[in-house]
Amino acid sequence: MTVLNQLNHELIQLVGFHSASPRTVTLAAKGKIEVMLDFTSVDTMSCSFQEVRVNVPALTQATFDKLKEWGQKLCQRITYLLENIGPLEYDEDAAQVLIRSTPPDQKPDGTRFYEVILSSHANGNFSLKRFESQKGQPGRTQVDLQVTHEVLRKLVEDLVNTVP
Amino acid sequence: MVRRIDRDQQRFDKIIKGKVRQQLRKYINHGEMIGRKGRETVSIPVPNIEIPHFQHGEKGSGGVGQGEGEVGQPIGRGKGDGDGPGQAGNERGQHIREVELTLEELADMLGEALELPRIEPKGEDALTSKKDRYTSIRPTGPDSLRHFKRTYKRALRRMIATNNYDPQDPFIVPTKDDERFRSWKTVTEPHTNAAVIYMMDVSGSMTDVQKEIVRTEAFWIDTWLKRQYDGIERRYIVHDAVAHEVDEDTFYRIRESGGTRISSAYRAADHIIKRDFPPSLWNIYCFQFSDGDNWGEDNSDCIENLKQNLFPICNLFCYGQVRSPYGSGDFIKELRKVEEEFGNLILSEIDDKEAIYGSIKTFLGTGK
Repeated sequence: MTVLNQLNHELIQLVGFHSASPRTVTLAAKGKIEVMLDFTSVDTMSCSFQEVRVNVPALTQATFDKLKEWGQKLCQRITYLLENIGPLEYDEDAAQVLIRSTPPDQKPDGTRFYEVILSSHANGNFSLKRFESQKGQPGRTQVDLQVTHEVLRKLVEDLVNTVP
Repeated sequence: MVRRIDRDQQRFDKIIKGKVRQQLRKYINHGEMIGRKGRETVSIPVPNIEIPHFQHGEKGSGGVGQGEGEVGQPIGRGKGDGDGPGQAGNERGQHIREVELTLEELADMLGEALELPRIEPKGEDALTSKKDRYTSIRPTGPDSLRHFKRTYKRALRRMIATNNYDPQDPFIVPTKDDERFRSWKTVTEPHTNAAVIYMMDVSGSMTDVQKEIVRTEAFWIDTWLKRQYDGIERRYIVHDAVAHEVDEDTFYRIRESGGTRISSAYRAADHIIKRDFPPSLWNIYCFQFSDGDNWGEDNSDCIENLKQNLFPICNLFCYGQVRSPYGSGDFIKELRKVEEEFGNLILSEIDDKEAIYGSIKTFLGTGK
């Protein structure tokens, strides 16, 4: 079963699910790639989730250039979220790439942005979250990502297809 | 005797300084004067001050004066009513005058506006510096140091003693023996010195706007500390995941795209202090600016480093968290946990340029 078929199946199963503690769904793709989604709410058309993670065993201890290449491909492909994303920080020592919304969504009361972290520590890892920062308050709070089923399918497909 | 023009000039300077004082908050927040900083003075644009003055009327348009006519007769008939050519402008005229203030004057204004206490240096005045003082007179020296009054007096005395002086024709010709010159002595003076270490996060998330805020704030901090100490040594550290010591110009212009590890800056600061500034002799100030977006696992390293190396030796450790387009990070929360334990740790959140004024007051208002 393809990763999209698995996702469709899981979404149908989860319709009506709504909980503060997320339910993690794991999808398997070729090359032992795993896509994990932490759903907090699903209805017939859309869903919300806390995080998407991708584990890529083939990228274990990959060179930093490979990680950068992955980051660049992701930024070019993922153009359909609320904001475009772009690489912000490259930390070669920590083997991590930080990608964020460029520019973030700036409102008078604060800011919202996507954050992607790519790393090649244990496996090749991808993590996508969304954060909110209130004006006048330090720190940021993680908020759910809300997308339609169609956008989620495209996102998962792009995540799997951009792995170098 | 003070000449009248000097008195007028002093009065004018007073008015100008009053204007600057009134708008000091604006100047502090917007850093307008930093680009105009010279070696010892700063040029400040202030609105023009209108001085009343006479103006000649048009030829033949009449005027007031003595001449023909009876008492009560109207004078100076104007020309007929009507609009002249062209339209009146609707913008206010722009008159900008640049005035020069010394950095000491600026520092005094800052201290007055923010009600900053004088700093009490720690320890003894352990450092000494050598200075030349012109305190004595000698018979030889360069012409530029010739003491005219003493030379004249000696020549006058000699001419009187030798009966060559004629009060009707008081002509004095000094000879070489009459000449006297100023001479100096080199003296050592004990004084207090301060070392200021600026640290700035230049990772990808710090934009030019944040750096401008840091630059403005650092300028005022520098101005104040220079006023308080005889000698100031500054060092600049920039960091992303790795820290580097840089010069002042690079400090404000560099941009990196690496990750953020604040502990690297603390290690660099500790290295500089150990190398250049023995804490027993120096008043040490650290000012750090970041958006607080540190890699999570580095926070504990930072706190450990601060507790072990920097807090015990610094007069002040000031951390300014500048809000970036991605908000304000979590690092300040980590520092708040140890804030009560260390009285020399001062924290400030700088949301935008308007917050610079309050932040300077927070940092320097302790009098340490």
